Amino acid sequence: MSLFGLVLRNLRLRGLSSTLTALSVALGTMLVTAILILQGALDRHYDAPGRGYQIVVGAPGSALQLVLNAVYHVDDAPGLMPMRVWWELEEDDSVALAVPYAVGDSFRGFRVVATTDAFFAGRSPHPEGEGAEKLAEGRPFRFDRERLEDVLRELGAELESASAAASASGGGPGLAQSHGATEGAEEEEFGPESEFESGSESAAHHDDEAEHHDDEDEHHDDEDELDGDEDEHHDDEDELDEDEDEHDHDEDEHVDDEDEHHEHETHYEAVVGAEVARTLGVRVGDRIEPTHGVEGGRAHDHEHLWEVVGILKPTDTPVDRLVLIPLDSFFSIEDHRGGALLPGTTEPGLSAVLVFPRPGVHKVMLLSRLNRRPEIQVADVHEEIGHLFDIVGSVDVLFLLVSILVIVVGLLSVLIALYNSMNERRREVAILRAIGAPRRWVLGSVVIEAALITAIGAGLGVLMGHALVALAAGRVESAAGFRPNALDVVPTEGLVVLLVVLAGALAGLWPAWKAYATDVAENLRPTS
Amino acid sequence: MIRADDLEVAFGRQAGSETLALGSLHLAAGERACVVGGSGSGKTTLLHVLAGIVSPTQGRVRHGETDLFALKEAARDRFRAEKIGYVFQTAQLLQGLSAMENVALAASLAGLGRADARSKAEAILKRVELGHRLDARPGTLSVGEQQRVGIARALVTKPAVVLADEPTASLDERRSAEVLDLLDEVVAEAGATLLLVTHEPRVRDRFERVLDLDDGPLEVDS
Ligand SMILES: Nc1ncnc2c1ncn2[C@@H]1O[C@H](COP(=O)(O)OP(=O)(O)OP(=O)(O)O)[C@@H](O)[C@H]1O
Ligand SMILES: [Mg+2]
Repeated sequence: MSLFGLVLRNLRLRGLSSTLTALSVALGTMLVTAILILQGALDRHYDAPGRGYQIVVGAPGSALQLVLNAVYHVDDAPGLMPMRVWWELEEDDSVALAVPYAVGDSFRGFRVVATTDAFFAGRSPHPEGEGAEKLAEGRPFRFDRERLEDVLRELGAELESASAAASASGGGPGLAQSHGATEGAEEEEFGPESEFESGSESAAHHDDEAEHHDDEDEHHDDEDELDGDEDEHHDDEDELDEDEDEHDHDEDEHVDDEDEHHEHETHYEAVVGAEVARTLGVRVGDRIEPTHGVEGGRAHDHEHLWEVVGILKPTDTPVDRLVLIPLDSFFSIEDHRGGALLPGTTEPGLSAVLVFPRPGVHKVMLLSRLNRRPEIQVADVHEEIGHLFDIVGSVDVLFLLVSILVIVVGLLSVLIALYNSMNERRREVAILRAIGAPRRWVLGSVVIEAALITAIGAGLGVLMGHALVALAAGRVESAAGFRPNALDVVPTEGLVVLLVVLAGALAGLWPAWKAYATDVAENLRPTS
Repeated sequence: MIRADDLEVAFGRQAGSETLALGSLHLAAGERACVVGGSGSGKTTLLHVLAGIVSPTQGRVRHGETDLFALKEAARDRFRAEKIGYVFQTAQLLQGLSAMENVALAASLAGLGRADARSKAEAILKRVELGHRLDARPGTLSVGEQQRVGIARALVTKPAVVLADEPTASLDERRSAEVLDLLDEVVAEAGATLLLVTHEPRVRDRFERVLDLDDGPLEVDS
């Protein structure tokens, strides 16, 4: 029968009390653990991925929202900024690199970012490296500036013709909004299974549908209001058909020009993030079809499939969850044509431009210069993340304090439980002393008991903390834009357990002192 | 061998509070004696002092060559664990431990290893005819059986001295005789010195040497 054996027996003997006190310690430890995991996830999500970014330029509005959207890919883009600002930035002597983003599409729940080859420049932080170095497999997509300009020019012209057509058909520049309204109806028709397939099949599928709708088109006008959505849908289809014709026409022209380079443009390229590739099993050579809207909206015209030409190296940042497509391909889709222009103008818009200034004073100069412009919002990434962490951090500290308080209450309950048990234990202590147990031994047994109870509680609490994170992961994701991993082990967890157990042993010192000071003779008397 | 001289014990913290003069007592190795006296005469206190549980305010206690109260407290505790067996009026077993564990605990405190402590405990429990109740909890044992476990616990370390404080007070006449017979036997087998406190005449009659605290402090030649 060892000292430890005796302690275990004491725990067993007061099983209920031991369990309850251990649970009260577990409760606080659970909260602290959960907060630490969340903090770690938050840091990983916002701190490390934010490194390397400098300035984000976007539509006027909240600078934080702009950074959240452009750097962390959460939240919606605040709106559109004039594309010419990007061109100006590219020419600016203070700017080393400008990476434009156009967002709004998604592919199976992953955000699609339309950008340029600037994304693959060495200064663009995630993944590290330049060009092919950023890729685990394949190659960067090809961005064709000329074609972008062509498309944009065409877009301006088309917008005019579209508004001319609108006056006849009642559509017009508000077309982008009407797409939004039809999302629900469209989703059913173009189920997820149709999003990811070989190009020829889907094209054929589309043709059938288009024909089918064409046939029925006239009848729909007479049908009741319930079919309103469908009507609009048919409008879209009509547009698509028109566009197809134009497209064919373009190609004919190109063939006439014998411009081989342009033949490549007819199929689009995409590069996917590591997580996209892993989760969806996307491989180089696969064709993917992004849908409109961030939350898995409707499919575009099935004509347009993007061939995956590269897979990014994993970065442990939101970049892993992106699908990158060339900006020129983004503006080639008629869905974007209405939405790609600043409302009420013929100016093409972008969601954001990530600006990397030249080293030195350029950043300050650039910031003050850009800040004077009313048509854009300028955000200093580090400043905004600082603000974010100030807010989140103070809430964090509050939660942590409350949790620590809960732990302290748990430790107090250990102290009280042991202290109260000392009254009934005095006789036992006296017996132990009478058969030769030294005072230190008796003291130690109580301290070890306290430490053991807290250790069990703390261990349990850590497990419960992970479970809590698992339970709360969904809520956190929808509220904060990142999904904490319940299996993340934060190094400080061990420290917390150690500290809690130490504090538990300390809490045991007082009752242990009572055991130490027990008067043997007095407590050996049969009736005492 | 025990040599206790001019023992005096004081209770209470203030100077000049109640003192109890216990006198002197010499017991040869292997000797058996009994202490009698009225209630409150100091029988239990005498055993406590001889066991090193209560420090006398005056006088000293020697077990063989060892001056008990010259030892530091921890050393005195260890000495008690190894050399002194104490039998209480009620068995005073620890709840939640089996008979075997109760006995083995005393052996461990005397420095025996786990396996050694268990085998010695098992042997002595068999000796007191409880070989079939090794794993029994104290609560499931009869009072007489509990007292036999108490005796086993006192003797598992083969102590030089066994101090027994009214070990049969809570037993009926027959059980009392059985337990005393057993105690006598195992003490004799261990070659230990036995000092037994009682207020029962029939227990007292089993002893040749009787020390009576009612006659005032003990004297060496009594
Ligand atoms: N802690 C104490 N404080 C004050 N007085 C004490 C204390 N312990 C013992 N006494 C006194 O010492 C005297 C001897 O007590 P002790 O328990 O040794 O008597 P006893 O002979 O064993 O009596 P009994 O036969 O009733 O057990 C008693 O008068 C008792 O009141
Ligand atoms: Mg007594």
